[in-house]
Amino acid sequence: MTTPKMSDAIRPSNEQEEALLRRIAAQHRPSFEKLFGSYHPRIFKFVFRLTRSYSAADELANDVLLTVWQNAEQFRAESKVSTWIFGIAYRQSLRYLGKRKPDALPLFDQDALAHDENSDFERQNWVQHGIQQLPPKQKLTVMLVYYLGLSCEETAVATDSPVSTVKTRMFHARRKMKDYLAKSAVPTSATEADGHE
Amino acid sequence: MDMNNPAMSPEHDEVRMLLPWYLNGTLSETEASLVRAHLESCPDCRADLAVHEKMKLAVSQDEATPIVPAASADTLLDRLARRESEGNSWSRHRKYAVAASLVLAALIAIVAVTTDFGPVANNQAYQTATSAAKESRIGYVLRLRFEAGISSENRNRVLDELGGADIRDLENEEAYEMLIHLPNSSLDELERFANAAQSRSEVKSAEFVALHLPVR
Repeated sequence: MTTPKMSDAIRPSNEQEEALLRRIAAQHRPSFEKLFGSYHPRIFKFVFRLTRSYSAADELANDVLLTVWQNAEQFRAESKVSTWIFGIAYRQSLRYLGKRKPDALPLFDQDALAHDENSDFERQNWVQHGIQQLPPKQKLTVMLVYYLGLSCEETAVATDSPVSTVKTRMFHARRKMKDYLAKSAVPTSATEADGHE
Repeated sequence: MDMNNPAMSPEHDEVRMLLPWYLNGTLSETEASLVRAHLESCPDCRADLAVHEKMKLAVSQDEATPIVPAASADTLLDRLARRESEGNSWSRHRKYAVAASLVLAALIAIVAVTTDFGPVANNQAYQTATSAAKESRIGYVLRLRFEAGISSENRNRVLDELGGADIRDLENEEAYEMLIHLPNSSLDELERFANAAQSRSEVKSAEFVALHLPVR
């Protein structure tokens, strides 16, 4: 079971990225341009999904990459370059989400949606909306695991948290999502419909 | 403990916690095998996995992402350079601000002299510029705000040490103003003086707010 990742084939290897980062630490602009080209779209999409704001995502993506430019010498190669960079994105997004009030619920008419509960599209919308309602740390962890496909240990490094905390966040995210889907009348599985758990 | 119930088995809790990474394919083969085997017999974990699958699908199929804005490293670094240069020129901007406020204050002082605000208490003499006129030299009004809770003894010591004259207590604004004479001082010197005053632990803020011209 593998997570499909965008343009894996053209992405530099971690060793190549480490070399890039060493040159960036020496303020080598062409190396930064290369790293920028590889990471900007991914970071933008990552933070946009979290913020749902074009301008906030644009600003956050730029801030993340500026932080990379200004702090490249602090990279200790204790994790993959991508984990380190998305760790920066995690912290900056967390700050942004922490300042923002949670979205009001629901975004659309719950009764109208209930009539289409068998529609995959509507169901996915509910799940996406449910993810937006998660507390910031849980939402960010879900994104790191399912959007970026980080391993448990990588997620722990990116979020600067113990592995056990990362596991617990995903556990609680799943539980909240299940409750949310139950309230929105979206069946989560045939098993649950049979009354399990 | 009912060992026939998979939810009571020793690996149940561990497997539950590993489901997200089983789903994203980053578990070791040993862990993945453990999860696979447990899932076959545990409906609770299969239900949990179903919710995780929905979340993963929602995240990966989220088409809400708009077109990524055009951006370039060059633009970003140029913006950074501009920001840094603005930072460096902050002191320059501040000089302009001081200069502007001094020019404005000069106009006010001239008006004050020509319109004669009448007699004032000795401790507020600078306000009319008449005392500055007597001294026939330019003075600058330094406004000081002290940190909360500072003792009057410490406050008076700072006021004394700064060497100002005509100290005035602006009770309404919780500030003090004093006339400072810095002969032939440049804006740089004024700024250094204000910075030195502000760097004292007792002082919250210090800024020059007005100029006193000698009366011709």
